[in-house]
Amino acid sequence: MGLMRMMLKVTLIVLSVYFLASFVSGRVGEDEVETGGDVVRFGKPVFYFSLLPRWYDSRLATVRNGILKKQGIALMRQGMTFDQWLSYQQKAEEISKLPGLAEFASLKYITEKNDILKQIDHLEQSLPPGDIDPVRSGKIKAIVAQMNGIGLFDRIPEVHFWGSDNVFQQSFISFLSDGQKLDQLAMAFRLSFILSIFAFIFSTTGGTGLALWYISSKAGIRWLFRTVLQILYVLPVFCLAVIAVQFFTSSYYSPYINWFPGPGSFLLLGGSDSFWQIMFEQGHYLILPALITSVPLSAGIALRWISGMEDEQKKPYVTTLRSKGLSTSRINGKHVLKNISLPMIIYFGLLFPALMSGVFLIENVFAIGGIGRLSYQSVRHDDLMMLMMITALVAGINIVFNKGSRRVMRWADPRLKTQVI
Amino acid sequence: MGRPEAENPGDLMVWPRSLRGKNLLWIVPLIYLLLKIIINPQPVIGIGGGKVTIGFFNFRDDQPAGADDYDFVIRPVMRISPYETNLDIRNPLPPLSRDGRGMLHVLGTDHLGRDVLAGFVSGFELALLIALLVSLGTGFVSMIMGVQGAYFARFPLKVSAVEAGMWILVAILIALSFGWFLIGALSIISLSGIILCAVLVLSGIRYVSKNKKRKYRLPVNALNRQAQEFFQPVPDLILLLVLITVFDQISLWGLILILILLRLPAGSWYLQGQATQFIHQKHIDQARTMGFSGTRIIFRHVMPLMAPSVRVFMGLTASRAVLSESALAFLGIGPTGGMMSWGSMIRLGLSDLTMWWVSLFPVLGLVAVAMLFMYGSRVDK
Repeated sequence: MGLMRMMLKVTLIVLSVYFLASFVSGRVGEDEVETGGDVVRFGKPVFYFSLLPRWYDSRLATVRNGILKKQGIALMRQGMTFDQWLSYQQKAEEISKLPGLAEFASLKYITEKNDILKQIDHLEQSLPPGDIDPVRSGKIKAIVAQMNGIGLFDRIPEVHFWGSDNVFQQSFISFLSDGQKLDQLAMAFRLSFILSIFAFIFSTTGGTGLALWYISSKAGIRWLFRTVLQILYVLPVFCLAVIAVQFFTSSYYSPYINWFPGPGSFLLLGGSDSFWQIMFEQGHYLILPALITSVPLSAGIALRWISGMEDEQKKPYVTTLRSKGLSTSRINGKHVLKNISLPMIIYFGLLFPALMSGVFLIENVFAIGGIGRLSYQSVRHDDLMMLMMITALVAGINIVFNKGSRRVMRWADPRLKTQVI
Repeated sequence: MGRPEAENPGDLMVWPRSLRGKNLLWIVPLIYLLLKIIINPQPVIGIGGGKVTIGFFNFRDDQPAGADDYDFVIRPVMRISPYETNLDIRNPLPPLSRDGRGMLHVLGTDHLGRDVLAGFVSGFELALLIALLVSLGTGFVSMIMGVQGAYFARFPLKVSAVEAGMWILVAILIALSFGWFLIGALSIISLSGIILCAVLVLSGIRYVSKNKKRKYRLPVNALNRQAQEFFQPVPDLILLLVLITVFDQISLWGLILILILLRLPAGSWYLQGQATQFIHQKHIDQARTMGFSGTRIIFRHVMPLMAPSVRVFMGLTASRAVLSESALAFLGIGPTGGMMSWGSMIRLGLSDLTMWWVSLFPVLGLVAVAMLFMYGSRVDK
């Protein structure tokens, strides 16, 4: 039952992203059409969805020029097709460029059907009697004839349902059958997973160590300790990353701290190795990124542990242990930590999937081809299908870890077996 | 920002003892005012000559305004625009140095001769605007959603079968019209007309069927939980990227709207949990007995009690919004990537550490603002 619900959830997430995207067209294989001065960019419509209004062509969504788009929407609502509108725009541009016809420049922006028809009639009548300028009047005649030939406002609306012309379905199938893209996704997932494992280990051990250090430090300097932790907790991770790259991966500032391989060096390896190969043979490339990711996280974990520990210090069993002569580190490290670890299990369970998307910035700074880098590239290339897959993947991992951490919590605290958590 | 959220950040952090339990947020507008008086591309306030100039939130101004003829004017100490380049200088100027024209650059300049202090103030304005609007929007809407969820969990809203059907139909209709509004197929007037009609129809049906038997419970209380369960696994930064891709070139207002929407499920669920404890108090029962309407109870009797938790939530939201925006601007994605925002200044400064002052001050500002928002609104027990 749990598995069914999980699958349902992931499907729902994918579908909702699809619904969102279906309202606004995706773009695969973008084209550019030059209509004189303005470039109308549009792509092959990917998402045909029956919830769109009948007259609406999803290519409209990709028109960049706001004024032109407004006109397109207005005209298509009155019965023009997208292709007709495009050729209309080209003709209007041509007319506005002819000398002496500046008054017709507004043809590009008129939004009323009747006004356009009136203007074209007016244009025909404005031709000078006799052939004073045969070339110019010939041009105008040709354009008017073409404009009339476009057949404005006489289209039959089409409705696209799920079917053979459903381009979304086609692009989805082609994505699944495209081995290169699937490999890319699998490789990115593998890398992010390993990076997250490293960061998870560093942040949990670092956070716990910091908390134990804090609780055994003198009470007088604790506020300073805590303030430093607070600052580390909100420090943007990308600043840390770039500064660390400057200092720890080159000998420009100091030859003695050039400990780690620089950003981009992971790309030189080829990157088609197996999980274990990356983990054990190329792991040192991922240590600096993982360390930097774990800095704010370990500060957060330490602050969490600390707030639990300070409440716990007032309880009678701690006094008893102290009176029995146990050292502070033993009391805190063994007894207190164990008692306050229950809420932390859920936190750790959520931490790992949060890391999977949290390494997004780090991967971009270090040029590691993980999930974050891939999603950034997908944004740059408008690859919506890849982004949807990444979202679904990360969401799936999140759900699995969430469930898993609840299981672990029930195992750790048998009282919870009778309750719903 | 890829880290699990604290339930109550106030429990997590403690300021130094002297600052404990004090609201520190008033520092932010004060500093902002001071900075705008020191450096501003426009006069701070100028009245006269048939126009009024107010030099606040003018982070888009390319050039400082020309000679002005005002009757009453408060001039800034330095009139520099964040986008004003000075290509005469060969190298970026360090802090507290003067350029060839004798103009003082307090925090130095970057490689194009743009003043870092002016850029810092512009980034501060952007961060303030985003923090303010996102936290206010999210706080207000999710408070209403949370309180009504808690209220209708205790006092269920019962409807007849016809009414339930109408509710579902109206929900689909409004979702559809909103989608059409997004793609430009529907104007804002038609959208508000549709929403108004829907509200009128629903309240009319409720009024007509006043004395009818109502059997079905509207699942208003479960809605917040369902939304939170649905959106919790979706990583927010990647979702933000998807939305930016889908909506191509979003404006600053679009980014603010998206940040608000992304935060709503978590906020409404968290605040519903907080509101549930107030809903079960005695004075709510007394108000019900006195015959007050649900709206009045929600707005007058529960919402004032919610102020501390909403304040904590809003502070957390503000700091997260500022950090998300700066992360996007750092990568050059989104509307603020091309502006003088802290994220883009950090990217510029970190590309060349010999001009460390370009990135140091934005980093300090980001950390300070994020910390102030996150812990400054803390309510001491």
